[in-house]
Amino acid sequence: MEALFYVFSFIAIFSALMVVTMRNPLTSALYLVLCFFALAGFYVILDMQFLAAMQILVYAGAIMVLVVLVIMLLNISRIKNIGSDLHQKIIGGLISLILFAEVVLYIINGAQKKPTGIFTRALIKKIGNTQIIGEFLFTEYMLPFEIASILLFVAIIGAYLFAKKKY
Amino acid sequence: MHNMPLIYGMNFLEKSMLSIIPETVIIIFAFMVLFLAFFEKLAKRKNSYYLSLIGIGFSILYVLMLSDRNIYGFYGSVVFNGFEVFLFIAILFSGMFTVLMSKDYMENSGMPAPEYYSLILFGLSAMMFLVSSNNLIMVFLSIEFMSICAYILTGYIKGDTRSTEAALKYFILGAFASAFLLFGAVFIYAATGHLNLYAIHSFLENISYAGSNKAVGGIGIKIYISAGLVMFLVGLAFKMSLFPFHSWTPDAYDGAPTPITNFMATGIKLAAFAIFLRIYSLIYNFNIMNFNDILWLLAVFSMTFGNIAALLSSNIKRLLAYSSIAQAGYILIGIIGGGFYGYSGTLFYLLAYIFMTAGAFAVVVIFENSDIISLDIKRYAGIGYKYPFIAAAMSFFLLSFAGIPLTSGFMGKFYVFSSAVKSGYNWLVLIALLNSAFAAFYYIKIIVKMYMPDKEPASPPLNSSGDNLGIISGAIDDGLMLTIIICLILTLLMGVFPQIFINFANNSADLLWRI
Repeated sequence: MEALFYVFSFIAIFSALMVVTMRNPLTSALYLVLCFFALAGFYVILDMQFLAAMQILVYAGAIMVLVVLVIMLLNISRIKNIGSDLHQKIIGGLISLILFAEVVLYIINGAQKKPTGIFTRALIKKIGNTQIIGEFLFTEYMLPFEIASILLFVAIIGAYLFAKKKY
Repeated sequence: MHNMPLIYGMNFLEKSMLSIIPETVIIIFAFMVLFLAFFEKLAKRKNSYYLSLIGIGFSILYVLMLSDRNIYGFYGSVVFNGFEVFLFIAILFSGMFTVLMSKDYMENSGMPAPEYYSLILFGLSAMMFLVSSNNLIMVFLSIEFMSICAYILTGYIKGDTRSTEAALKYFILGAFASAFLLFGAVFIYAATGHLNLYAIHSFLENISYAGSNKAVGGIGIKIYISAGLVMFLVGLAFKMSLFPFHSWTPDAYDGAPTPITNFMATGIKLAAFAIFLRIYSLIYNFNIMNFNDILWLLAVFSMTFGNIAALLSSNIKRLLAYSSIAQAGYILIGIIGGGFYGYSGTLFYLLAYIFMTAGAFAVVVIFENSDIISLDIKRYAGIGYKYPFIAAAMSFFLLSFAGIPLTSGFMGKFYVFSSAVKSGYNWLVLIALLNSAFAAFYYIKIIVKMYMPDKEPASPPLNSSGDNLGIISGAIDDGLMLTIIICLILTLLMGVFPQIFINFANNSADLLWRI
């Protein structure tokens, strides 16, 4: 397991770096897909098989297809002066620092006792991931689930209205 | 855990359905209005207009029928009690005014009606879900639901670049704010392990009873929950359009169809304030950080900025947008003042604010529809003589905004400010008083303009029919007139006999208090 963790970490960090540094946007997008796959690997290590499947289906599947489609529609072949903008460098560096500080904070506090739910790892292994999520979706979180479905329906109406050329 | 009152003799599903009946009715009617679009014969504007009014009427009926219940539905993720009754009625009134205002506006602009009205109804149901939600997931989802309806409606005028631009700005900034809100919710969940607001409340209560914070989690929890609450506040302040997060307000209010501007100014603001009030009373109140200092700054800057910007703007919709930012600052004072009187004062002010804003926007819609007067304030010169009733109504609403006695605005301000003084926020109240004196200047400026004789000799009517006296009397829509009359009566009643409304607000604030 530990060896797998290092392999996935290496792939994730490497592909994330490549996303930022590659000059061709399409290559960047494909590296992002690789990064998502590596993250899905982490979820599998943590016994979150359902989340891993969702990660690949939703992010690597649906969202990245959209990104690639936009890149192809806009026909951006190459970004000329990458990283020459000082503004972007400063803001990017600042945000990276904040995120890094967050990770450090999390690791420092990681040893502390934290409030835990009733579903321990052993229990999840016994019942199964998908069953637990399904049960929650249809009992405790039934109403949010329904609201999400109506929300998506309204979003479809909006997309239809904005895409229509004329009334 | 908290004590959930059980209603005996009713099973889980019945109880849960009962707790969301007003919203469900609205959603069913929204689908019915939408189905009208399938049939060419039925898709006339009038049908969807009347159908949505009937839907809102039914919903009000159900709220009144359930008004003495106290229901926790869907495993405690939805609450329905007196607090909701008050806010549901206010929200439904705001929706009703929006629908009433829209009829003529839709006819003039030739926009497709069924989608428009159904989106208003969907937005209404989202606001009601937001107000009654008692769970971080529900809060986030219903805020998103409400915002998506608002984004679509803002950009509803096809081919108008201002409307499209406003929708895009609102959408991008709104998505950013929602991200903050979601991140904040995640932090709160990570710190406490609960999504239910009452459960978070009792968790924090346990921590503060344990004293030194060592009992569960130590300092880590404090950091996470503070970060979470600050980010949550950012997300909500965007919807309440408080000062540093207000930048979308003038553009979105200006670009949107005017009835939708009313919808945003009344409904969305009310729902956001209501959920903030609930979360504030349950979570922020523990003073993990000095949140009242942050809110103090937000209130002061919102009032001052809103008033100064309103003074400088010459477009009536932009002016009302900036003044709504300032009004949000005043309302926030009630929450800062806190306690029972602060909360009930906030609710009272919110109700008063809805009626005066809806009235003012109805007048703007009348003038916009009749094409005689554009949105520029300069064109309002002299209308006091041509249209005495409408101009008088507008003056009354503006005086109410300014907080002149005998209007609901005065009672609301009085109530809110006195609660803040009671809690010892003297400086805040002093700044607010100076601000409202300053604000009276630009409100009264409009009134003076309306009753000034039209000096410009040749200001030809924008429409070609020539006689600009006769047009308005024939063209005013019943719905608009009804809106103005209802708002006028209620603004006056709340100013002269406020006790009924104060009792109503007290009852609902009382239920907020009793957890």
